[in-house]
Amino acid sequence: MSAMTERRLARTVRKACNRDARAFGRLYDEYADRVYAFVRSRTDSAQDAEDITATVFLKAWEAIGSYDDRGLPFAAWLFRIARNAVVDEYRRKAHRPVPVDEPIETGEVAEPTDVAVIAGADAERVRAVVRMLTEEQASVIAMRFWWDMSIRDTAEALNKNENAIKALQHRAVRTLARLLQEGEDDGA
Amino acid sequence: MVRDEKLLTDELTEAISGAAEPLSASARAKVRERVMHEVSATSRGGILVLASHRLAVAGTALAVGFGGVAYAAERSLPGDPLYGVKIAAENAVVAVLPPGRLENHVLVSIAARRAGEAATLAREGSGTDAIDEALGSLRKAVRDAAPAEGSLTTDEANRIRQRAADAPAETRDAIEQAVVPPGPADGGASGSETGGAPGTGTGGSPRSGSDDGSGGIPDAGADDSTGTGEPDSTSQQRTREGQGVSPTDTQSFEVGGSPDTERTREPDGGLRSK
Repeated sequence: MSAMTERRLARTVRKACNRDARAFGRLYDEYADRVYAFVRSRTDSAQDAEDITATVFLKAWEAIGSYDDRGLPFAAWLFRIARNAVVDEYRRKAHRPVPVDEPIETGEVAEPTDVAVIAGADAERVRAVVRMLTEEQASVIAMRFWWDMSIRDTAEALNKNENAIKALQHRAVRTLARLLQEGEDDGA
Repeated sequence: MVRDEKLLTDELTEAISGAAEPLSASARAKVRERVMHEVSATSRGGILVLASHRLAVAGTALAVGFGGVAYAAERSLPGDPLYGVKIAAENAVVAVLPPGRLENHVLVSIAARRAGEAATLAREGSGTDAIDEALGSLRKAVRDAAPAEGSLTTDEANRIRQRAADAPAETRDAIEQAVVPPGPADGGASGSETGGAPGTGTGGSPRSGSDDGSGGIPDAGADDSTGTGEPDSTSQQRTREGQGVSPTDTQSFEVGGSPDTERTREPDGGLRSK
């Protein structure tokens, strides 16, 4: 998904840290789709997702002067902002609390999942199922599959260790598979 | 039944990766405009431009006049008091341009400006440090104008070379090195591709000649899909006549022009147009 080399990204981030608007525009171009994809997976409407995406980048611009690339990777830093913006939006709209630790899956996934069902699931169906995941699971799915982030960077973004991320991803993927399967069974 | 975990992961990976909801092009542009409007206003360039407005107002009070300040800023060279205003104005314009042909055209024009400045400094007998600094700025501008993983096209390189055609030979060589950095494979734009020798202003496309001295940045808000990057002749005329041109006025902000080659420095350091 990334069109920018790491070296160029690092240079662009450094320039943006020095309040270089053009460099920040480049970062927008690089990350807008990813931010939107995550935000959209946690919001009800495309319009809300666009508004929150704009908010994410404006918050990033406000804070980028204090960003230190020797610490958090930029993607992880930006994802944190996106995640916080989503949580803020939930609170602002007085939605039910974001189910940070609320497990959707119940027990182990015991039944074998029909691979053909997963392979045949269209994007809209997968997105609908991602919306049913817990906030943490959805975050891991977004970072690992949509942002192409490493386990390590994902762990940094969520303030967890790498084993915890692996476990979270495993549960998220299992849950996704199960929900896709259930949807298929219900429709059958 | 034995579950094939590997197959399951691959199928899921593919299904999940392809499920990221895309941001439509129009929404992407709309959100970008919204974000960059705020960003530009509070960027280093934006703040400097704001400061330049105040400087210009003060200048008017001193009978220089806003237009005069802006005009002088446009013609300033590295080391001049108003040079920062010129750079800030460029940055402010570039910041709001959407990625694409128009932005690329403007960035190449800015690199050509830097080449013209280095050439003018060399012609005027400025110190080595000043010329080296100008060449450093040129290299940076070329990096900004070049694509992420490539180099300038021959036409783009020729546009930049043209602005330094009248530089002393040594400076012209240094500018050539900046425009086409020597590499292992020496790929990318090269004067030899079209037979256009460095600094001669020959070779390249028919467009390359028309860009020099005629370029105004088209409306920065223009749709890039329609923006050809061609100069705005009306604004160019306005600039040339020095009729109250603001450096922040993207309609009239001249990038492709050649003010650097048309002005000389007075012995006392002041600016004089030919």
